[in-house]
Amino acid sequence: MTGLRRRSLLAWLAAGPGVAAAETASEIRLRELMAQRAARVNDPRVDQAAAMADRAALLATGEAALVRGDTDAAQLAFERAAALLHAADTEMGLVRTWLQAGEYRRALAFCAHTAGGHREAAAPGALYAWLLRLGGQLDAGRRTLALAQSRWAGDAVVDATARQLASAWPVADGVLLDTPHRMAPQPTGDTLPAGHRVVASGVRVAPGRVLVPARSVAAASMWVRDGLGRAATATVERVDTDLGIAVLAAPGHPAGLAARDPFAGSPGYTVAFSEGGDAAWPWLHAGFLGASDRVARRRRLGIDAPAGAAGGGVFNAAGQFAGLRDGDSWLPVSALAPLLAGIEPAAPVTVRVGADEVYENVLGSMVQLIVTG
Amino acid sequence: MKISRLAAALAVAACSLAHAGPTVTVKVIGFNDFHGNLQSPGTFGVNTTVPAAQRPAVGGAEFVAAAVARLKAGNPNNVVVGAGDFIGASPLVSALFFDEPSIESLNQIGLEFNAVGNHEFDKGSAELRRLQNGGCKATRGVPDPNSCRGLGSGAPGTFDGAKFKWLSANVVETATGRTLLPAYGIKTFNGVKVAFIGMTLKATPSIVTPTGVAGLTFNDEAATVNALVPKLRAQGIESIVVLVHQGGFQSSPNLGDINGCDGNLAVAGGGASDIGNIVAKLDNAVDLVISGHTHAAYNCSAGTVDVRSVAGAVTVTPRPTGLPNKVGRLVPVTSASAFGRVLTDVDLTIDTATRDVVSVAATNRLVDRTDPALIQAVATNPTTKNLVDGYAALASPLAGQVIGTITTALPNTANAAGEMPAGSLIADAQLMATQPAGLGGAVAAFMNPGGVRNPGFTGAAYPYALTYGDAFTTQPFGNSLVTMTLTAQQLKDLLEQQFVGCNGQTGQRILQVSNGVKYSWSASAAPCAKVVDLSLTPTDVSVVPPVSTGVAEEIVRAGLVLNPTKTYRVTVNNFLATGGDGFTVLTGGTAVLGGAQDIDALIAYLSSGYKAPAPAYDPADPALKLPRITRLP
Repeated sequence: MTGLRRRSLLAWLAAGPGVAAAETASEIRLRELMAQRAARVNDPRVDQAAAMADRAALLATGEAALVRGDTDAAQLAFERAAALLHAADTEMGLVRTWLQAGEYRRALAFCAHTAGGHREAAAPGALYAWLLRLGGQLDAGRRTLALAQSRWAGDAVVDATARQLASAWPVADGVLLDTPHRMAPQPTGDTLPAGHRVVASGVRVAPGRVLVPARSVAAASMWVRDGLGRAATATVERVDTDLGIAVLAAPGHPAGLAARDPFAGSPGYTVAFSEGGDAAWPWLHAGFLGASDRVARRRRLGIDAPAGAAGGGVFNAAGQFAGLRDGDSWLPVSALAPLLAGIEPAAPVTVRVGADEVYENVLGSMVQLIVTG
Repeated sequence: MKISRLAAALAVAACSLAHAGPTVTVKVIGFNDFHGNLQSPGTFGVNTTVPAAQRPAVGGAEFVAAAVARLKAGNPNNVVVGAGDFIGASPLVSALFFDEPSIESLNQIGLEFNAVGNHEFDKGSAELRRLQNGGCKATRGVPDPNSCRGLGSGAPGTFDGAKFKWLSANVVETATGRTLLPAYGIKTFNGVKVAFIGMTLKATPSIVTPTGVAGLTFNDEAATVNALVPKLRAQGIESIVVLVHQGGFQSSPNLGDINGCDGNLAVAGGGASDIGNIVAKLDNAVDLVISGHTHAAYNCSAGTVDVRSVAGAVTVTPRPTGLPNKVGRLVPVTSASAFGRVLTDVDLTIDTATRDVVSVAATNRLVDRTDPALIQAVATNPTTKNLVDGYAALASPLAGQVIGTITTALPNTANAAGEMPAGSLIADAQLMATQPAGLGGAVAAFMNPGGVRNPGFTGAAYPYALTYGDAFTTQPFGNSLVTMTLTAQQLKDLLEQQFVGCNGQTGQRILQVSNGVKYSWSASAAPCAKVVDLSLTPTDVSVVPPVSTGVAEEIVRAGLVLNPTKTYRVTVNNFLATGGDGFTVLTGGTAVLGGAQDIDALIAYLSSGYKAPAPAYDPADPALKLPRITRLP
């Protein structure tokens, strides 16, 4: 099935039964094939037409709720659909619902189950590999993808996932944006004009205050979109040319601020979005923070993270904002102090949390910087 | 349970009302479809009216353990049972280690009998047997590094296997005709035996990888149970519980409460559910069915409630029920959702004379992580939490990262003078971390030998790329660095306190010293008079190779401190700084400054100087000035 045909089918599903009259014969056949594939499960209820119609409506309701950004409604719809049939599409809906609500760990754990429990479908394995990679589990993501490839050679979703995950900065596009496996949040909030593009990553450090690379803010119109898919207009408050950092005014939830610079060699994380594409989840890379590179205020990144993305947050072992990435170095909070004035730091690090928890904590405070032109 | 057809229409609760003989009450704690969810699977509501924001976080192995312990504390006659799919399709923290962490956690939770589910066959019957019996996983004949981590087993490098019994009454090895695993388990309470028959759904072969079930036959569930009943009765057993990995869903317009049995689990159109079809064929001797597979929560028993919402008002109406068996009697049937979200709490009341069950009281309970009593219990007994945290650390993307390369083994074994190759490296790392003025301004570092854990820094072949996991094994304590000011006299006293009999020291503990420190000690000298000489050469260890930045200074010559009041900035870990290992002299340090964790210092040292493409750490490099300690007669 081509991505275009699948998208048109899913558009039909999302629109609900009210547009059934517009179906063509080929679309009907396509829908039947899709239904067979989606429900290739040993659940006898798949033969109960009325229940399956209810289920399809609930899935469409859930997807529509995600498009609105109403994750509570989406969860309820997908949970009800799950009670009608044990199927991968429903579970992937729940996975995306939790991720869009910022619950990365829950989504990841459940996706592990979906991938392991629904081997009748290709997409869960691909989605699980994508989610593992998001949280810095490169090896586990590779193994999961290899398993999906071994079972589903030639599958469009698996192949597209493999192509993207082979790159340093994967972008969800084409078939990867289809539901039920969609590998990106639904875009919500401000509607962006045609031609917009993602040019850098930033971090919201206080309510309404976002730090981004200064060189990326030349455009007149700018927006920031966080890792939950929410877009909002951004305006420049100030630019520190020495540091090369711009402060933007844009609403949203901030990351916790580290009280001090982390020690060299301590676990750290850098999180950034791929450039290009649209609403997306950011990528986390884990490692050990480098020492001073003997250039005033900057430190070596230390973390083996690929080059190619502008900006990005650096977070300490507790997942607190510790600085801004700039290529293979970073500016710690001590260097950023002039831009962080008035922000109360979080409690000093006492507990080191896992990479998955760090990712979950920062998902809503990491932002894409979006410009037009 | 033997009960006439005439009584079949009566509710289960009526049984208890009619009974008047001596009884014993057995607490049965059941759950299902754990799927290796060692960490919380998120929030969960008791029914669909609970808004997402009001649903408590649930589950997590440590909270399941605490909740089970609380239930068991109420009744010494107890048993913990499962209805299958406890492994397989599991999160990374379990799956990465072949689900051994789940087995070890379930051992700690106290699981005793568990039906096999379809996911127990994901990796085949041989692997299931390994998980039951213990032993390490080998991949193509080679021990897999992710097996036998042993955090919850007898020792590192081992895997004890399941202490609970997996039961597979309807799974038969085609070649031998024997069940793959025991068909049932028996536990005796006050002299009364209760049997637990465990099995998976007959359709298992159609939903798992064919290689996983090769050579196995899956028989009809009810027929299997019914064939076992006479055998159990021949052993004097009348109380029979079925653990079956098959289930149903609540289906009426009610709210699907975890203690509901909406629509009596009938499917749309009124047909019986999969579990209903099994129960409908069961021998009347079966007293309780604990089911699973669908991940649904339901409670079809004397404890059933109908929960409805009318105009926003939630009403709860008791409706004692069950699913009809082959004589029409209503048998209690339960399921506890999945992932450790819910436990089924069942009180079986058994007539000690007839040995038969006279009443069943079942309640599904959330494993609520916001329950203060459970929080306190986890804090008081963090054994399972520590186990899970340990595996989470091993599953971290940090664990396998290379931090540096070594040219040869750096073990934690000491030479005659007490110096360890691993200890010298660690001391240098601690000096580097605290050498900058703003981080302590240290000129020397001392590391306690007991903090350099076995095996030191070693690999299978050299040069060896050390990983974070290797480093963590050698420095697992999470100590932090402390820099303090000591006088020359205190430095001498510190070194003297390494030896038995000096200022309360009870064992010989030779501190590992950083680059630039050199001293000799006399084995034959009296306690507190062993240090012969001590010198310090200022050395910058932040560069490779390290360089001396000043001339060597004699601090002790022929046992005498040359300038007793002169001060030095010295780094130790917080264990030593507080007098650990008997080094009480360190409690007299002044201008104390806390610093990084010891393992951070080690990583910073290795990764900044000895990580490829930089040359590997070579203890033979003269710039490292090894050995640093000399033992004299």
